[in-house]
Amino acid sequence: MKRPVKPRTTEQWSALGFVTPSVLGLGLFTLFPVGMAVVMSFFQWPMLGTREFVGLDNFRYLLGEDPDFLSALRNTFVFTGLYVPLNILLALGLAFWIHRSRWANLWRVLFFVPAITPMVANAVIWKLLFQALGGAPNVLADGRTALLAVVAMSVWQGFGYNMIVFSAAVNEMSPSVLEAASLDGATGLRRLVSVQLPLISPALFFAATMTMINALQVFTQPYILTAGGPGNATETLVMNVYQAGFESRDLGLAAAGAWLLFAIILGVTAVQFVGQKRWVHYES
Amino acid sequence: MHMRRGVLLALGLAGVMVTTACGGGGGTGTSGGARDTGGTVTLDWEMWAGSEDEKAQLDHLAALVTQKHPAIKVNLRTAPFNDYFTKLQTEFAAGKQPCVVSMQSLRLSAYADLLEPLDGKADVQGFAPAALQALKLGGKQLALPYDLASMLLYYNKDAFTKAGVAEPKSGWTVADFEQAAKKLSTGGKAGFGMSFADLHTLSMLLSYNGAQPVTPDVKLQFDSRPMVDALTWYAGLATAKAALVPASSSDVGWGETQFVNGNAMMAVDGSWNIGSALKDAKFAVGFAPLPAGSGGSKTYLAASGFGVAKGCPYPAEAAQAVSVLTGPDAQAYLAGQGRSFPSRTDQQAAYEEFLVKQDPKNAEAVRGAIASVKDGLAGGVPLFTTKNWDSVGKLMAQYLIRVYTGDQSPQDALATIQQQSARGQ
Repeated sequence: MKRPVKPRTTEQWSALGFVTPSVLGLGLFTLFPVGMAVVMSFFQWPMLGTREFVGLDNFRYLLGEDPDFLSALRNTFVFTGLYVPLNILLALGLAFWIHRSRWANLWRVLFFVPAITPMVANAVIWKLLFQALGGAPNVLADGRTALLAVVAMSVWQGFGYNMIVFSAAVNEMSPSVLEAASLDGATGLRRLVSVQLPLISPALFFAATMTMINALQVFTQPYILTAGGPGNATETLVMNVYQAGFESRDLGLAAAGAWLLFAIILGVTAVQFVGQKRWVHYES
Repeated sequence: MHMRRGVLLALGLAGVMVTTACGGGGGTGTSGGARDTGGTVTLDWEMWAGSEDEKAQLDHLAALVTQKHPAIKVNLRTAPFNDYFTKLQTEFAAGKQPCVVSMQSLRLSAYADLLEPLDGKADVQGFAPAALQALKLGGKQLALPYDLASMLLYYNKDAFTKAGVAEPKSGWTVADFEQAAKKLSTGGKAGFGMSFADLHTLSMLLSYNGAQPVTPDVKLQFDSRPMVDALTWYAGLATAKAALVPASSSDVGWGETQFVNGNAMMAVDGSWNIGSALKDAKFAVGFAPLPAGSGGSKTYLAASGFGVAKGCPYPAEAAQAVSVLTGPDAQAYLAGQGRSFPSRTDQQAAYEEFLVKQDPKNAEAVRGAIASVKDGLAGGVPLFTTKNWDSVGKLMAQYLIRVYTGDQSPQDALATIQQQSARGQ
């Protein structure tokens, strides 16, 4: 009984040694700020000046009186509703097409380039492109097209990453299953919907979830392309939080906005996790 | 397993407590200066600087302070202009502000409660009255100016000659301006480059009919009648196809960029860009006062300067440092470096000479520009801003563009700006 105790304790100490830095890091740089944000959201917390406890006032203001928050919410959902499907469809289509191409690796590199260049540089170049296209009013100055322009730029920027994920999944599709399907006479659309998509469904689920989370946090593209305008046509939730914190210098309001955004993302992701049981198939 | 979890939890908690202890120190009263055993006071001075050259100029100014007051040392800290005010407000929030604060008149109201009034503590002789006025709020001198800026009409001399239109000059009216803008709008080029930036846009509205977005007691009145009339006129330039509308709400420098690129034949820009426009434009640039409306040519003025932070442990020394940093020697030095139009009347000629020497073949244009700046100062009004001016600027970018594209009436847009910026003004 005595002998096994000693190595176990040593093991425990070394485990502690390994885990301490990351736990400290997590506590200091993630848990503490997150907890602090909860506290701040209940205060009127100006960047300069005195703080005051206001209960749920910040939330009430955002949902009831803030002229921008609800439109930012709407814009964020419209952006997500357009961006996620377009991104996934484009990435999926290209992944299947590349799979059969002789120049597969070349295409992969080419399509991945936008995903690894800095977002700010991409947005600035696209802004110049939209300006060069001209038109009166410019697409970025027209309330009906500004958000669509932001979506177009974002899809171009973002699909490369998903394409790589899908491309890997397509390559890993089990040849025996595909062969069995073709022996059974499944071809074309039937083969795609009933065999290939279920085979890569874990990758689809991963991509859909991550893309959705990223889309709900969209900031850089509209910030550079349109600064939220014209009117508030392209103002998103994160822009609203940024504006509250760094332009209005109202950190309490910014924290409240950030918490609402967090709750929305958590909710949407939870729904996706519940829903995945119906359509995601894991091989085992 | 059970124990391990307990340890992790305890560690996490300890981490949180350590951070709380560190983070809780903000807002202590004194910061930004220290006295060593020899009695020398070292003061922190925070200033924006975009290049090593600019930093070297500022270091020279800091050395001037020690030259004059051997017991005072100035320790310069810099940040790029775009980050400067974000950094400054964070430092104030954390109680780590410098003793000597660099301030712009357009941002003054947001920092008014954090600056020590300098009245009676520093000599204000020799400054252009408008420059002092711009850094005054509620009757208190919150900073001393080192520069002064007015808005000018920049125009493309070559295009005017080619179209046979008389060049703008002092006394040019709004009607002359409109006519010229229409005549110069041909072949895909426009007569005027529009803007939604505060000084650029609001100065034109002011010159048109005296419209002011802020009352003398610093309250917003964007929806006032004169503002609606003036904006209706300004937006009319776009409807008449005589002006280029900004391509998006994020194009803050639209008018002046299109002007230098040769796409717009006139634009409003500040006196601080005289030198760079002459250098960058591939055509002859001319300068004139803004077109005169019902009350003559008018422009908003802006000034930058240095003040003393409240809570600075050595306010008397800091005020002495500010006096030297904005003194005749410092101004003469900065004018000789071509930094900006000096706030001290005696040193303004040196700035003109610098620009002439820099670009001798444009001597005439430079002299015209400086004459226009002085003209502007005569009809100039400092632009006083509200505490939430950053938000107001964002709203102007988002809603004025809708008026220019014809998407919203001037009345509705101004009402929206007024209503949305009522909070926190």
